[in-house]
Amino acid sequence: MLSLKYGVIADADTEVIIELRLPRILLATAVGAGLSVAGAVLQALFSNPLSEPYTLGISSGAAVGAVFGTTLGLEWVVAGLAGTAFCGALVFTLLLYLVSIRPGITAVTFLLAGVMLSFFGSSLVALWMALSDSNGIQGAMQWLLGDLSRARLSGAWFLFSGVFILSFILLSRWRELDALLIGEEAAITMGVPVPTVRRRLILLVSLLVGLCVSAAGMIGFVGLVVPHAVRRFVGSLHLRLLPLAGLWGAVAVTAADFVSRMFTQPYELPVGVVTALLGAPVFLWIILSRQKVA
Amino acid sequence: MHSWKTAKNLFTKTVLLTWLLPATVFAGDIIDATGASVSVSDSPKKIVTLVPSLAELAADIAEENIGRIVGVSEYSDYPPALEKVESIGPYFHFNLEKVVSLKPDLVLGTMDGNSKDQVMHLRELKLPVVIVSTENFAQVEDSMRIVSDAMGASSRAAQMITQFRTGLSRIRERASERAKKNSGKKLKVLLQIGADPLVVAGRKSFLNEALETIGAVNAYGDVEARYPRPSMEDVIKRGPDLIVVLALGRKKGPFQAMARDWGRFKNIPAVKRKQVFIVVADPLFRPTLRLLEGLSMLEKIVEKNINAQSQNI
Amino acid sequence: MDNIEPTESCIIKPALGVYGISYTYGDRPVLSDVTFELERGEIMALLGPNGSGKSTLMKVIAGILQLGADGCTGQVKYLGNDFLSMPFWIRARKLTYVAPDFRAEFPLTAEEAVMLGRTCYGFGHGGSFFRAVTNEDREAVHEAMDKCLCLGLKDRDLHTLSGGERQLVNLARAIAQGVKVLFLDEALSRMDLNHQAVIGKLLRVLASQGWAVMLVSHDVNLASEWADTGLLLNKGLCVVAKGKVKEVLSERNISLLYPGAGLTIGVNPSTGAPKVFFGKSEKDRHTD
Repeated sequence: MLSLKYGVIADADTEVIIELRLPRILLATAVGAGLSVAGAVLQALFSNPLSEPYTLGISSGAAVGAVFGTTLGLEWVVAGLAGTAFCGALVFTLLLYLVSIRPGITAVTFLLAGVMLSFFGSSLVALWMALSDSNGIQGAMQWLLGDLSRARLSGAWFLFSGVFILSFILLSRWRELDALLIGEEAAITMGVPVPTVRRRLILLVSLLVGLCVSAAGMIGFVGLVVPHAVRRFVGSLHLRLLPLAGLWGAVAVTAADFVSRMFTQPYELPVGVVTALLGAPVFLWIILSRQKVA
Repeated sequence: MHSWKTAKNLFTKTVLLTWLLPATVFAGDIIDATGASVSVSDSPKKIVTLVPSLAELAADIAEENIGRIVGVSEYSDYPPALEKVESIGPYFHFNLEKVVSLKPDLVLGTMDGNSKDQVMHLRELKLPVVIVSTENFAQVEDSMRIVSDAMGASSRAAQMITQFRTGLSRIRERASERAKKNSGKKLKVLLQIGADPLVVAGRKSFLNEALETIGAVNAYGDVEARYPRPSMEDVIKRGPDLIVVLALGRKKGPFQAMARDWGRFKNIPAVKRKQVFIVVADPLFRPTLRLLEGLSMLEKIVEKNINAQSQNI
Repeated sequence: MDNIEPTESCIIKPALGVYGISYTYGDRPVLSDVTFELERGEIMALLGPNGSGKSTLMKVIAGILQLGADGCTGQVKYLGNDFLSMPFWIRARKLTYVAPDFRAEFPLTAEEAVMLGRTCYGFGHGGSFFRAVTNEDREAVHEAMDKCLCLGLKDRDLHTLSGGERQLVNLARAIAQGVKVLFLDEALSRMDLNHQAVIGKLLRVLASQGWAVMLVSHDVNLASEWADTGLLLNKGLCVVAKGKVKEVLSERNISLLYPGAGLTIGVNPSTGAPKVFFGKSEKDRHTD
């Protein structure tokens, strides 16, 4: 079945190609699930349907962290980059949180803050690229825009289990997330210890995004589009939303990866480019259809 | 019983002999430019090159058996026969799966251009990857030797290196003659690789040594980088006497535009004296004997310039 | 932790005791040493002009605004025990605050929204990760929505409901939560008259079952109709600590709270509840 999907390259069943493709599929699945779950949680946390790791700039924070990790030489340390990416994601998420609690913040203003953070992060990465010797630049650019080709079996398993564990922990918070659907004040009055929950969710989401970005670069719009699509079919309650969003996110990124490799042989499109090309129009459509409702 | 003893004796002698014989007789263990020891078969028949310069070098060494090369990176266009060989993608991000599917018994990569992560990944997949480095001419010679050894043609290396050294010494002689004629004055040359952003050759590129060999001075020879990206103001400050735009590939257009662009900065000595040249630089970038061709092209430009200068005086 | 159920001796203690609540927003004092007690079975109207701190008071007691910073002090006791140190989910089983409106940014049906009121039962004893919805929950929701006249709306998405309908749903949520103390902050303001009548009767029934209700409404007449007692706030200060509504809504108090409005007090002929009327204006008096 795998060879059917990937069989465009001839001889799709040599052992070593499985050694290359299996980690890649594993990684795509893990990253797709992780980003979708993170997106859904961010949407509940900030009560903002336009939230997701990429548009809010959290992914770019993770990228800055990962890039910083490479300058520290942590590339070859197990989870070294994931650690620095987590720190980067956390800093940006905290900044976002500070913005979100300002009185009078609207959904669109909040999103703008996220976009600014995203630019800021990208500029920091560009700065790093400018200061370093031009040798690794083009390779780095590929990673930044979303690159699943670096998948190794051990790394992919690490990521897969990390995403699985974190998603499960987030799933266990379904009650709190559901309560947050009608606002923080209502949630408090329904028994949710909101300040504590908020802290924990921010931490968990930053960890999740940090993991995904450190392994595969910035893949955008998955965390936005997948939860929205799934909600249309199963509603907003998280006990059902999170697992299904994870599942469909995994499918989406695996499919995007397939697209990124099949049509421009032997070149590989960065996966993030594919998700952006497909996801950005949907993002726009969501914004416009909200105007109608409002 | 007697025959058993003899057999054991013979066996022991053979074993001892194999241990004593030089390693190159058997599956070679090549020590490449990273210091890693790579185990390569005697005469690899399926070679993949990760960068055009190595494709050229490998083709040179393979001579008529160019069919030994089964995979090359994009723009491996010399010798022309390589254009029919399957492409594995651009050198900075080649297609791992493609390389693996070709089932090579030797992969040649370089530290100047290939992504370290990708090359390491190939090693992790148990492919024999031999890596070279070409920061200066000594390393260029080393790479000739390493690649020849890896391809099982060690004798070829000696040949190439001799030719290389001879060619170099001739060029150096001519350079010192020119220097005597000009009372030791050396031209300051800017070697431009790209524009937007402006990319030049720094000290860590072997182009630096190329300039030194032909008796010129690299305008950015003091910058400890391979290909620094200076600002225009910095270039004006350094005031090179000669600007050479190194054109790679077939499209001349962008490089001509680059050359014309310099016209805006009349303060640079090179521009004032109209000493901006485009050089089709493919030969320069290949650590093969074609490097000598490239050097003589540079040489001619330098000569022209010096003559022009002496006329002005 | 649920052993705060009333025993014989506890009936004497008030459901809610609020002592010395002060609250400042930054450097602006909003509440100043507010003290009162709310008995079980009592419906109290919290009245006062805009900005007098009514919502703030409710939010502080409900735990939405935190005490502890400079200028934010006070004590709240529930049946004699310190309320604000109880975990959030235990507090939610005793008291809840109903806001003037609620929005969900994402698709949510009315029934799901009411079900959210059962969240607090998912924590602590009897709560578990996978215990999504029990029969108890379903019954509570069904009953609450029935009482609040929104059972017919249960599968409708909140976006499609009118303001008044959403308020019914919000109220149902609070009732499904099974609390003993209910805070309604302008929670009836957009309902139809007939709904208001039904809800008013519902509040009386709940009170007779031992609930305590605090109502905020700037429709003074609405509040006075259903409430037994009133607490008047003026700029965060209790004007009249507590009293029967008839006593509290005196001409003197009304003119203190709403000076220059020329209001007079009358009586609802059917129920005897005090009513505030607009009197003749100064201008009219002059032309007489």
